[in-house]
Amino acid sequence: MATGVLGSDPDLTLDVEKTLRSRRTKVGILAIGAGVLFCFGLVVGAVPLSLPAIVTGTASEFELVVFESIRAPRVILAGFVGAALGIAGAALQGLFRNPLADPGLIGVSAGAALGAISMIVLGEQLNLPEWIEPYAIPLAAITGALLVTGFLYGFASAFGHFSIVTLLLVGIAINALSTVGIGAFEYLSDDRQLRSLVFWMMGSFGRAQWTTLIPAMMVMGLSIGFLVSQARSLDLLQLGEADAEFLGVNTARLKRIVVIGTAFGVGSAVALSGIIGFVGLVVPHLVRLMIGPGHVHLLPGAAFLGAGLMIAADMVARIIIVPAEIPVSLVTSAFGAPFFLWLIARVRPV
Amino acid sequence: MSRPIGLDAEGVCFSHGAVSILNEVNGSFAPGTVTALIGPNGAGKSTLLRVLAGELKPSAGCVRMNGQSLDTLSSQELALKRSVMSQSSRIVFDFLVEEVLRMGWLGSRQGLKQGLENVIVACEIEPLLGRTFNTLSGGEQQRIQFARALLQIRSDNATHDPNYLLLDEPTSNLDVAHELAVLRLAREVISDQVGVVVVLHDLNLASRFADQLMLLKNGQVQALGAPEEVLDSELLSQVYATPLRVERHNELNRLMIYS
Repeated sequence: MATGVLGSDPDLTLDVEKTLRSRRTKVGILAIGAGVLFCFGLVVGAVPLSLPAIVTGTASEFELVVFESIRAPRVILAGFVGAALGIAGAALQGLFRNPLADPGLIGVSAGAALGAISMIVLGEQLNLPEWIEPYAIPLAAITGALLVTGFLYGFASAFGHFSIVTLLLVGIAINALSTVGIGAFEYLSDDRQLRSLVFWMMGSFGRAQWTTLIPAMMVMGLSIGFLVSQARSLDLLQLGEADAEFLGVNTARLKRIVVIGTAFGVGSAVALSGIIGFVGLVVPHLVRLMIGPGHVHLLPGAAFLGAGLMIAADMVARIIIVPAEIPVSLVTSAFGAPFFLWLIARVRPV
Repeated sequence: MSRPIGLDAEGVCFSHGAVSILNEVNGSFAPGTVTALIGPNGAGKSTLLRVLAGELKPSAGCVRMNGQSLDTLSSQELALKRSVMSQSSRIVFDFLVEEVLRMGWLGSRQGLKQGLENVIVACEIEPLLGRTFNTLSGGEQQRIQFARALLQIRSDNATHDPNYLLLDEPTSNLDVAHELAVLRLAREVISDQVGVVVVLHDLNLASRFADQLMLLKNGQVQALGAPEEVLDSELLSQVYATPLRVERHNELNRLMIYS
């Protein structure tokens, strides 16, 4: 319906297209970076490995065992967890229109942690069939995350309007309640359980194994796909809920998808590696600085950067005190917490 | 064309709890015309606009767009038929001006470039391109939001049904020159089978740019018709509870309202 109000200048939108092309390139660079770090992660560690030797079959049997059952699942897990947490943070920040939002904020991580911890402490008494045992903790964590988000959604929509402020406030209350539950389980647990529980709370990829990794990879992959598919709607939501609706976005459906997608991604991440702080907060912010706020590029960018940074953080955790290792969350929090303070100082009051 | 056209409010009531905000509002907003909603603060102008937009559901009565009740249209269908410029809203993240503009485009990828160029030229916002929306002044942001709403109307070329442009105080932050420019553009789009409904506070602007005025007070229509019929010294003084005088300015050949 070109009305040709005035003459048009053909060069006018050229810059816009150039900007968008360069953003695509930057996402590509992040993907390549994640790939390079992935290869580094595979070879660096207490037992140094050589990729060419493994590919050509000249590696020793010991090296092959280390690669197949320790190194590879660990690095893959780190990559997937980083991607899932990064993209979940980006999607939640978009949903809340608040750069300080984080999967931990609305209680999803705490809910998942409570589910997993209750299984660690009470699992032995349940007499679960043997085949289900490796999946018991992940399933309990996802259930915890879903219960929290389901409750959040039900509670908030009971008031007719699913407002973002309501969601945040209820999230704070849920976090507090989960802390109570976690504390109670800590009190109930014996010394051995407590050790495992504390180590798990600090986050680590040390216990990665294929039986739990493969289903978790599928769940996290689906979560990432669902969230990426909402990129344009999340962009429009930045204009405000009413304005997004005026542009044809079904905001109720968008919120549902983001909340459920985040619950599955964060739930399975927490189940396999414990609580790893600040990745969901820091990664999206870095991608916004590097690429821009548009979700079409931000969401995949956050997945790639999250994966790369998590693999790097895990490498640091593994090699800093060889042959022992520190929990990866110590690494992410050591960098993330000061960043968080800087962010609070920088963000204009909403 | 057998389908009825126009945007019609039929006995629209809206209440917030026990408080009645709109009471039995009837009115027809035809394509090819500009209607200004006027009235004192709290008269229900913005609420009526939001009901016409489909954001708020009337507690009684209904709104029909080209013969179809708004209830029966999905938000996607509505988005193609009408665009809304709300009162200024904040964007948290640092989107570029052109990114905000593009959010208004609902049509095909191929049409985007031409559509974008047309509104950028028409709204004279080329100097603002490349800047972050957040760093613009309130007035500049308002001009971008207006351009975005315009782009949304232009992105529908699938049907020949009329479209509607709903503007809630689009000029509240603008200087005189830009105020006139925005309202001139609003008049220009009606030639494309677009109906414009605009909430305005400035009665002189309303009388100058609108074909039809709807005067509201306490959620009730006090008068509906051409500016010459609605702008009456006695009626306005009573509705606004302040002495107002309406005179025809011979040189400019339009009605002027003096307080």
